[in-house]
Amino acid sequence: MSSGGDILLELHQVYKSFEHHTLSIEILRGIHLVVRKGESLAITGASGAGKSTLLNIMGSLEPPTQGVVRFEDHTIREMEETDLCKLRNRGMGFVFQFHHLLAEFNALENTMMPALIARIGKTEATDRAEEILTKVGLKGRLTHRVGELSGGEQQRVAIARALVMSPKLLLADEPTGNLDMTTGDGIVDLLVNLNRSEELTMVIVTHNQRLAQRMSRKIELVDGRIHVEKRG
Amino acid sequence: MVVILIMIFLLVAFNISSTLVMVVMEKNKDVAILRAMGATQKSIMSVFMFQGLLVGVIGTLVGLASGLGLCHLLAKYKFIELPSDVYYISTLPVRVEMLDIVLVIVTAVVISFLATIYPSWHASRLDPVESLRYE
Repeated sequence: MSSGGDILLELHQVYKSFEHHTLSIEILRGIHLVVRKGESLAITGASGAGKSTLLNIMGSLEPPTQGVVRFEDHTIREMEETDLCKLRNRGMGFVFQFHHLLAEFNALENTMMPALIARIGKTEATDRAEEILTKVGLKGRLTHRVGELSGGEQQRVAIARALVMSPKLLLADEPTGNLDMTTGDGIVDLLVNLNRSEELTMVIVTHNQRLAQRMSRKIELVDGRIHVEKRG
Repeated sequence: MVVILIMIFLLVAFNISSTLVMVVMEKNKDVAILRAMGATQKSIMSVFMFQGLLVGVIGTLVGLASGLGLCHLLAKYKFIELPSDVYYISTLPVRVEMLDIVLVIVTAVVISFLATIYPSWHASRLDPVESLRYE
């Protein structure tokens, strides 16, 4: 395992396989990856190469079959359920291809949700949510319900929700995958600006080559292995 | 009377449980996203238990108010007549016992609570990755 104060996330010899009837399907085969604080990493690869599975393992949403995942000083496998939840709540933010906003709530309430889960007072949660929604360009949309927002705006709310707890790591799975080119470019600009201005570490799974090229590092997965690694 | 009450309570339990199972199925993506945001299994379980219990308490109160109202009307207007050649009395008598009311309330709330346990437990154990995988 590597050592060093600037390492945020480290995967060491990570394997993932799924059992299907009598077949064992290997998705990831010995991934070794280090993500340093402040860097932006794009993971590309063909469908089925294991990109989303890798991202889920990084985000502690699913465990690897074998191998070690470390977030700062914590080995994820050894963490208790409560500490894992705290890590997902305060240390990481997730953005998915589909916004997955809660339809019953407006933009502000959706953005506040992680803060309410963390039992932060409603006033502070509202302030934080307003601030971050303003930062992503949605000051005029605070009280709009999910259905009243465009696709790009919904994804911006999802990004704001992921950032409301000021996480150290943003994990995004195809954040522009469901958007047209112009709206997708707006989201790319937003993510790149956040990485630069907030020094936010981000790992993004994407097919969007324009987004991948604007990240500081790019890896390509082929058959569950890191095939090519390029610095931007 | 006891048999009828038991049947009613079983029906209540089944209704609350199946309603919650439907809600859990409908909300599985929301549960997954809340888990990804850091909600604990315990907090997800308590959300659904609270919802089930709320349904149970509201149902109990509405049922109690309707039952007491009906008893009051029945005592006042005596609109259910009994065949006088079979019974000594000509209309259905009504007597409201406080102990019966308390027992029915407590049993209904306890059964509502018990009926929420399985669906809530199921919701708290949903795999977030599996729920978010397909749109």
